[in-house]
Amino acid sequence: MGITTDSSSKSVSPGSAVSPLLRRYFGTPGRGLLSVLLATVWAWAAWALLRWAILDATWIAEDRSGCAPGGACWAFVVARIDQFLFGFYPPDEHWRPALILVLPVVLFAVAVSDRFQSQRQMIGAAIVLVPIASLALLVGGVPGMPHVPADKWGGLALTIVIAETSFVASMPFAVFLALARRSQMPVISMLATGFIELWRGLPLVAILFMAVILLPLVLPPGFQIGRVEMAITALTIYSAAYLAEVVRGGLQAVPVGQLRAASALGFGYWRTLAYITLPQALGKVLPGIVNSAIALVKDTSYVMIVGLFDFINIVTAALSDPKWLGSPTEAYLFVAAVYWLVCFGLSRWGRSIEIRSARARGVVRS
Amino acid sequence: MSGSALVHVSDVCKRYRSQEVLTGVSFQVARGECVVLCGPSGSGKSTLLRCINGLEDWNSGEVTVDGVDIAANAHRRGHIGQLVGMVFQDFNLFPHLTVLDNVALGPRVLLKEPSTKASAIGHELLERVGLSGHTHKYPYELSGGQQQRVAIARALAMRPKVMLFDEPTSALDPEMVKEVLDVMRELAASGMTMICVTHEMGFARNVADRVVFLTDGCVCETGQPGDFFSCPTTPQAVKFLSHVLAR
Repeated sequence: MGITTDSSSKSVSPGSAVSPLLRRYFGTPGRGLLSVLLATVWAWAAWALLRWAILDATWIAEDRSGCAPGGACWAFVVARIDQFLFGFYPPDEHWRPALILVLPVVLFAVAVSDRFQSQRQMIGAAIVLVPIASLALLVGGVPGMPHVPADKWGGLALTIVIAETSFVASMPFAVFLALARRSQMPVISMLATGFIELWRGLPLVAILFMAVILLPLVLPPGFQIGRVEMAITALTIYSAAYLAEVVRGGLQAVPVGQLRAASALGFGYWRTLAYITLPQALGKVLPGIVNSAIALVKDTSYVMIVGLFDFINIVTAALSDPKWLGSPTEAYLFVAAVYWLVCFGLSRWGRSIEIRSARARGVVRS
Repeated sequence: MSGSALVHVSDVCKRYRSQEVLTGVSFQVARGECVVLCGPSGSGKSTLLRCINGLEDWNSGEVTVDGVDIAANAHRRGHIGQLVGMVFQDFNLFPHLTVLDNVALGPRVLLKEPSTKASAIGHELLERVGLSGHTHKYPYELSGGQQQRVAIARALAMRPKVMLFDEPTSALDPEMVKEVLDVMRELAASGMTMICVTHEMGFARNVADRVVFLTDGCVCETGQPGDFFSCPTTPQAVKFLSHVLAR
């Protein structure tokens, strides 16, 4: 292969960039035939998908029988979109969960744009404030925002709130666990290790089942934990156990000379941590942190176990509507597309931080 | 002499498990004096240096700097950082900060200077070590000699009373040794109290006020550089000098 490319690039007259490509795909009769065949299959598949998903699709209908048989029936998703996004939230208050969906998009846009890079502390504060504000928006209870009980929450807004809150809460928790595990004091180190190994060793499904079944037995009668709190707590602990090991990897990668230099300058333990160790450690393991964040977003789908109608669960529930029987393909394609967009956004965000810091340190120039 | 001494090291002993690293080291450094600590490898020079700023603890004996008992205050890093500055063999600059921030971080965070003042201190010190054109670079963009000069500026930014140098030129390519030694020479001339562990015998001979020669964890010989290099009195010093000066 390499030889063919070499000889072709030599014989090609300068300026014609198409020829090497042509040679690559049509260099021999067999290769040409294969290329034509594959191109045909791809084109056919793309055309069929386009026809099904867009051209022959039905966007608005009363029920499943109103959908054209050959195309996708997006009408189901369109008819239920309010519920999919906002759960059973009172329609008059839909602006609140809508704002919850918009906030992270705005934050993402601000965080990746070059214009706001000097305000890193502001972005950091926003990352902490967005989940708190989102929870407050859902709960309400102040003039202008009547209280909405948790059993009305649901859909994508609930998924996003649970994911944001659990991640932001698990990050400091993870740092604390990682530090405790590396502690010189054996008791603290053993407690942290035990905690991490316990929660990391349990399936999230099992943790949520235990929360639903065991907690009421252990708690004093009359004392109840809301299901949303239960879900957020379980996901926070679960995610923190994983993140702690990621953070520990970063802490271990900071050379001991850095600690000596900081100590010699007069930095105590906490200041060394804040100004020297953590910035370096977290920077080193950013891909791992983004990985955990993406996993957490998808793990929120398990909260259906405690009876919450998160994004997937509410779509699944809607499928049993007799008016729309037979729509799972469209419904789950929609769900998949939304999850993918959220996770891809997170991935891009992480990558943009990596590239920026690498560029600042000159590792990547662009 | 002892009245004006800034650094007192008296009878310091240190063991790692069963191995004796320091076996009763005593010496004093006067204000404004530049002392070179030398000796064969494994003689405890670097360990002794780390005891003087409390980075290392020891088993018995006492170290005081400007009247402050280092052992009793070793955990008060902020206090010791303003008393004793240290320059390391492998620079240990903070890679995530610019050159200016490396120098200004201490004044800003530890001395509580407003950030404009901290930057001004950084600019001034970087100019002093001849790096005013490199303030916004990151450490990896500098040569070893330049990095070490930044490290000296970073230590000076805390306005220490004494500066410790732990083999500051050992990790450098030969052509960069001079630029670091020039900064150290200028520093000594300005009246800074300095304790330098170094194998640069030229520096010891020309700049140091006194040479302290360590072997096997204790002070074997001490004297003016002229006397020490021309007529060492102990056989260990004779042997050491024949090795290092033969190079």
